[in-house]
Amino acid sequence: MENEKKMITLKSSDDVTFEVEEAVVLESQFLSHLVQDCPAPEHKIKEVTGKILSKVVEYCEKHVVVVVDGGDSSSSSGDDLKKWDDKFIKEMDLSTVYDLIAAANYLNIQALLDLMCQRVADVITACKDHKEIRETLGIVSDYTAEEEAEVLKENEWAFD
Amino acid sequence: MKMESLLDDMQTEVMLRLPLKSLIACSRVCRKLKTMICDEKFKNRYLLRSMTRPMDPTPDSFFHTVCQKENRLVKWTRSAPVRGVVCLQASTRFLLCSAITNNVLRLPDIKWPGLSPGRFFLGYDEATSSLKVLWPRYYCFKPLVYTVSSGDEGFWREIACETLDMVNFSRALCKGGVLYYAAAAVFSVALVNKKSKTGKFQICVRNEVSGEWELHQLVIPGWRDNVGNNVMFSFVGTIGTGELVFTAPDSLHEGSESVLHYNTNPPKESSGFEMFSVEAVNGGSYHCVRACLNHFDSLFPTN
Repeated sequence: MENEKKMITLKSSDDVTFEVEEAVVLESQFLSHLVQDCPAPEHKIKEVTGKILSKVVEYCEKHVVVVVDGGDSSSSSGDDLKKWDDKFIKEMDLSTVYDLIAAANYLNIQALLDLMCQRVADVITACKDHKEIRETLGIVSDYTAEEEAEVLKENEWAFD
Repeated sequence: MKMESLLDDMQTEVMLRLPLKSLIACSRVCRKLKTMICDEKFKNRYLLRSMTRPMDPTPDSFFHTVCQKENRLVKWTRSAPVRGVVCLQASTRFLLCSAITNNVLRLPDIKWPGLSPGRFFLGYDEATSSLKVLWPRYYCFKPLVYTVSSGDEGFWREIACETLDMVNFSRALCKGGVLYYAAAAVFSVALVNKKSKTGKFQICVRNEVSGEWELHQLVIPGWRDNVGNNVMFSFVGTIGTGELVFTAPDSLHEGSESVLHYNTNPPKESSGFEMFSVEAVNGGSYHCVRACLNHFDSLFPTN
């Protein structure tokens, strides 16, 4: 057993610092390369704010534990992890979800990206029609009245 | 942050995860989303993705609407959807209905003396981007193929295939180029070899080069141990991950339908069998639930 864990400091765009274990950093493809190529004790991530980085770190820390203690029954099982993921996203507003999508894409954390994209898709799926989707996503329609009538005519049957 | 400020790639990632109904609703939201959804590349990615997940039962009400335009008294048989298109058949009349453009195409009538036209299959040929309807016309040894690509009239032609009459087919698959094959149906406990506890499965393949049809036999080890003898499973098709899919509709009266996946290349220490139970939709008030696959070109059984 290795007791000494290598710690790495991450600094957000607004200079909030997070001290994490190396294993946590390895969840991100982008950060793994960064840490390998540049062995500095502190890494500044200009694209991500402290608020969002704290969420990313929280997610990675949770997920890394599972991989390390995979065989241990006392650690989080797949079901527990899923429950944790559910709770993690439910507490978040959509704006934060978008930020996390951008961050997960930038830092290249596929599982987090999948989770967040699925969350937005679920929110859209729960909408009853295009008007509700507009409201939910805060999109203003750029269709003219005629165009909208035309688009509505297409695929009408799908809304029986 | 807003959805709109996300990179296009990320917005695409979200759209790819939507069920079809929500995707269509999104195309009504604004021009940008419509353009994204109507993009050919996106459509292909969406189709590919949708093929690896279980499909929602297609709403039958849609097909009733289509039928009523033609003739209420005619009983239409419906194919499994292929790339958003279904084929309806009543006697010798065939219709192709596109769920994407909402078009209905009536195929030219064919003379057929037989009372029951039997099964037919719908497939997609990627090499020529055309849809094909295969009508085996059992007992006459002259299967017909109807080929149509967008913007074209389409035509029926006769193909030679004696093997097609020999086996009882359930589903057709369509592979790029000329290869165009149908999968054999007979798979049930009747075919399970009781001594060796294995299952046997036959599939009919058209050789791309020679144009000949060949009968392939696949042995599924451990069928009885994993599936048992009491449930009748019938073959539905193959899916993109190289698995064979079977269903047991007879178990429906118990309120759910069983779907069985068999991986032809099972990972180590796995039997390759995977059983799914589909809970009765809508409180089980349907008379009949049918599993359909969005057929995907898997490498099976050519490898």
